[in-house]
Amino acid sequence: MKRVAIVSAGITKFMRRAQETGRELSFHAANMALKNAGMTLADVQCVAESTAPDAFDGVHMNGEYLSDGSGGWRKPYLRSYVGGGSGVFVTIHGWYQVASGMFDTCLVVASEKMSSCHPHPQAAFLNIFDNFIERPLGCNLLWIFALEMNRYMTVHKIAHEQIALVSVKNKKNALDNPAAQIPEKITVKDVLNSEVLAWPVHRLDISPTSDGAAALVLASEDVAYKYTDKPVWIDGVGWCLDTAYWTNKDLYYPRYVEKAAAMAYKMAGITNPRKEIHVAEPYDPFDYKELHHMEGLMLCGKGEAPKLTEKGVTQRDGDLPTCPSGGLLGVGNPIAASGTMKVAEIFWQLREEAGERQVTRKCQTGLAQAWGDLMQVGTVVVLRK
Amino acid sequence: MKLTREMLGGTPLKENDFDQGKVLFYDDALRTAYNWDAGVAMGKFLAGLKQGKILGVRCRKCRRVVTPPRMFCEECFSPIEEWVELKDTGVVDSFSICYVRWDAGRIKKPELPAIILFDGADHAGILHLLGEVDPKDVKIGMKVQAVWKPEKERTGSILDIKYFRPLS
Amino acid sequence: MALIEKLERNLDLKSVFMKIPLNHRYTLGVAGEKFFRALKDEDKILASYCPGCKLWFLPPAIFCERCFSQMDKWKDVGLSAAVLSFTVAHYDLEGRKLPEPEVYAFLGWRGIEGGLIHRLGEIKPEKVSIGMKVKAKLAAKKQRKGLITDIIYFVPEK
Repeated sequence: MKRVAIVSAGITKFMRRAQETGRELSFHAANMALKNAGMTLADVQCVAESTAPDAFDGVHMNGEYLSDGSGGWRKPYLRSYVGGGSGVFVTIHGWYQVASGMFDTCLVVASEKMSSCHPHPQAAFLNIFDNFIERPLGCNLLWIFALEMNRYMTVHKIAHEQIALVSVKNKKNALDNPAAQIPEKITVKDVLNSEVLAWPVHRLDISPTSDGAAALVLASEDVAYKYTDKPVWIDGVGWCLDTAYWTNKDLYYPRYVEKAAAMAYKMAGITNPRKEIHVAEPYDPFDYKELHHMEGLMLCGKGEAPKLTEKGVTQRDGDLPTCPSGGLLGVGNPIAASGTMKVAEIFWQLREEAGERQVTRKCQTGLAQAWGDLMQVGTVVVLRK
Repeated sequence: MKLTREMLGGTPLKENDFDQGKVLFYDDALRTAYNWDAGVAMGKFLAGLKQGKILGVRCRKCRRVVTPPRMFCEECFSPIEEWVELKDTGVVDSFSICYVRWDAGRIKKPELPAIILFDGADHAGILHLLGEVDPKDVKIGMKVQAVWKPEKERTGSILDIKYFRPLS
Repeated sequence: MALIEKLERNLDLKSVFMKIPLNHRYTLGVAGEKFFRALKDEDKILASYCPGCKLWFLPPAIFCERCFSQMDKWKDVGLSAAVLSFTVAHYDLEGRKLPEPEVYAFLGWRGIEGGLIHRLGEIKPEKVSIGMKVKAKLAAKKQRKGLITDIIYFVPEK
């Protein structure tokens, strides 16, 4: 198995609605990543692409449609998709194509155009529910998150104020991210006073739907130094899918994230994640999710993530800076691209190229995690410089 | 290589760019209709609902009783052949108070979606709605009972149960 | 043949019928906006040039998919084209017989890579041949929306 590095990254602005087609968005991110590595399309040996359900952009076989913008013309090209987990999973997909020794370079592209779904992408999510015994109830994606958030808060006796701190932190972090869609300075009170959509979920607990794309260039150890003098190595990968019978499990703890993390930590030789991970980008489509995933990632004990947040440990100047990019809450949530954005952020953080977002502590090892589907998938990558 | 806005591709649009004719667009609607085969397990479950029954299945290997019923156990991958009739009472595992419809439109009277774990099943249940209860009084752990539609109105659908109400 | 067979009976509780309601509002993209405005307002069909591949492409784009060069140079290729291939449809999308057969063609322009798919009109299907010259017939200016249907169809050009 070859060692694989990320040698470059690219990203577009994340926005509620882009004029660009999905193809044009993919091109902007992919082109930026290639240019930053000093590469042309001819240097790309294969392409790993990801985009969320065809239902959003309303283009059937969206992966094939986006292939031209993703550099896939006449190349070995494959789309992978695991819901929101895609952005990190496509990095893993690119990783194993290079680790296998079959290819020296891989262009990883994740792109999303959710705004085509009219009047709101929310309507497409209805179809995630069971067609026989759930959809007739008129469900709404917010229900699943609200049910999970309520369970998490009740089992661990966590107050909404503690959870709201995450939204405050991430939206503030996003002020330093030029790609961010809705960076803003808010308070815990603002979150609790914002419109109740599906109690306990308030409007400011949620990340927005977005259009956007992100890309990475992966290279094997044999050629990585041709493209950069600071490669960031993918030292651990893990992924895990849980049952689709989501009403049969206890939602308070994401055991599928734990399994994915265990797989990645084993590969990276990590035995004490809290101490050995220096910067983390867990998936935060809702503020409570960052806490939920921190526990699943075993960065702290069950129910303890809110305490770390309260103590400031997860701030950029803390001991375990979490979501320094601004996360999905601040930057935006174009489903597949958001995970890849997190990988790109850890890439820039480890190379000390994150500008105003650069975390204070010295970092050797970072982690990006994404989640998806019906409370099902955990995908994790561990990166080292 | 610090990120700047100039480096990033992407042309944001505003909602009224469409109304003001600043950008061209094309509207289309998905013309799909599905006739789904319910399958062996779901078909029997839906037929059970028509009769006012909640059916579950037991995996012989894992010894778990679960619902919604399935033909195979997803944990040990054994085929399942044993059917069990469950009570129509259960416990609220989680709930929400929702003011938003599926298409993001707002509603004044909130809906109360909940996960109800059935008595007799091993931490297994379904998504449904709560009714005849004030949102303020709903608690995780609350005991509830199904309220059924009258027999002649039932069609073999999850809506044959109108909602679950607190067990008095 | 599989494409035409329809299942019309809903068999008791063995199957459940449901629609998936989804609407889309597509933006045309940065390139698409330029192409369709030129068609709508100026009666032009535009192609774009890739300096890397040294080729003209139709439909135009902001980037070349073959080499990723930006395509900033555009030109009007005119409304006249040639039929590169065609087919005659006898059934609609729902499998119902069309009142009159419809001819669909892949149209090419000399010296341009690619082309457009569109309908042929004002011609009997038997008279259509590969290589024949056709010209776009545009809708009245007031009725144009900035869509491919601003061209009603292509008609034979003498």
